[in-house]
Amino acid sequence: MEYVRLPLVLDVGNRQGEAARRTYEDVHAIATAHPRLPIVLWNCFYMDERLLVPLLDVCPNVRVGLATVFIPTFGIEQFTARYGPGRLIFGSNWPHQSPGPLLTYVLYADVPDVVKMAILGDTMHALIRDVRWPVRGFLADAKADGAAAPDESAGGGAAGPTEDADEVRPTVDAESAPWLEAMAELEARARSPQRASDEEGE
Amino acid sequence: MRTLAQLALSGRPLDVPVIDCHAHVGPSRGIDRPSSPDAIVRLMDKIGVERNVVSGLMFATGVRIEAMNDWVAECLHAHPDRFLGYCYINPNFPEAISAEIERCFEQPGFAGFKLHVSWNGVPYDSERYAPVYEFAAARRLPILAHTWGDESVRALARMARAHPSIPFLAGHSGAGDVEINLEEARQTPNLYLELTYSGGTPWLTKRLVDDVGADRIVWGSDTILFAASHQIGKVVFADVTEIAKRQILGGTARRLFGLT
Repeated sequence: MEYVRLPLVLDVGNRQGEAARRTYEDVHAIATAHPRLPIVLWNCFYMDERLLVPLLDVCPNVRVGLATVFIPTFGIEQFTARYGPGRLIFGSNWPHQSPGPLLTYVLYADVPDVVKMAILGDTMHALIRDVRWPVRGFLADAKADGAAAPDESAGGGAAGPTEDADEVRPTVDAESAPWLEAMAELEARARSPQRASDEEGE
Repeated sequence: MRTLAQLALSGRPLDVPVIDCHAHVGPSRGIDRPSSPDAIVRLMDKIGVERNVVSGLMFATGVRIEAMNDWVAECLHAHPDRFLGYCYINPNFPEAISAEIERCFEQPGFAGFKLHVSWNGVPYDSERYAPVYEFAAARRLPILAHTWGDESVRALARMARAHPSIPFLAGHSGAGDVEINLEEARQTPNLYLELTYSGGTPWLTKRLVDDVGADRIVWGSDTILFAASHQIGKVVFADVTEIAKRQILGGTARRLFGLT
């Protein structure tokens, strides 16, 4: 997984106390042993900062999913100020949890629109884009030609599914239209050069 | 006119005067979050919250049980038009309760009580709370109590039936067994359901509205423990009418706290 940059999603289980400490120690061991393996943690507890912050400080390959109960007041503001926009990833835990509260948690955060876009999709898009898709045939290819791993300097940019080919177009109906419209507005604001320029001075 | 959901999706403040019936101030377990009155007001403005009804985090110590209420008083003094306060008492120090009640309500802005059975270990139907119930009943003051869809709701409901002039707010309705909250609310007109819960249980708001009605439900966030921006989502995106959402977010609480 580390070689192909395939994200490893770890459910840390919303644990507390000693169980939480042991879980984060396990994550630390995996993340430091595999520094180029993207790791996304789900179900962090809302008071996990004392464990989470030291982990994120030393493991840049670890990201945090917002799903379920990682909802501290000022959490998005504090975490993006410390780590930049790329360490938080939106999730809803649907159907166990409603997506609405996690969405408002991001949309009302006191951060620039580009940061909200990063959380809501850009960071996850980047993780998927960085996966070295040809490795689907890697093992078979390696056996066939006796090679070890493909040359990393190739950058992993060989044939894989294009974004357009795999894109799932949402069905637009009366219920989903306002959501899609709002997301489009947010994206337009985030991508606007003028807006980005204004935000730099805030 | 935009709906509440559309306003939330655009990240704009809601156009209903929201009352947060379950908010906190003060330090909590060393977690480093901005918690000054000014910081909390900025947070409220972002969403459109008119008033936070606050109690201290997390528990009254035995050394100085008035500390939590002092944090509340600081908010009331700094922004009297944005905060109301809950007086918090510790039933494990019964000899100190009456004096602390008197001390709190001498100050403007204290508008109710906050009780927390899990921190104190004293059930809500204990005689130790008698000074609280007596004081609240005489003034029709709301009492917010931490509950968890279990015996804590049952005990609170018993006290609500015994003191019909007090509005009792069952905190965290939706946590634990929500059927217990609904069963007790049906037979207890002065038992109100408060929505704070870390999980965003799907369809919870609609379930409660369909069963007991929006005029029996109040919104709370547990700020600064949870983000109000998260908790607001369970109402604005709920599958209920706009009127019901506005009732939950502010209408019911305005009536209970006597806000005009």
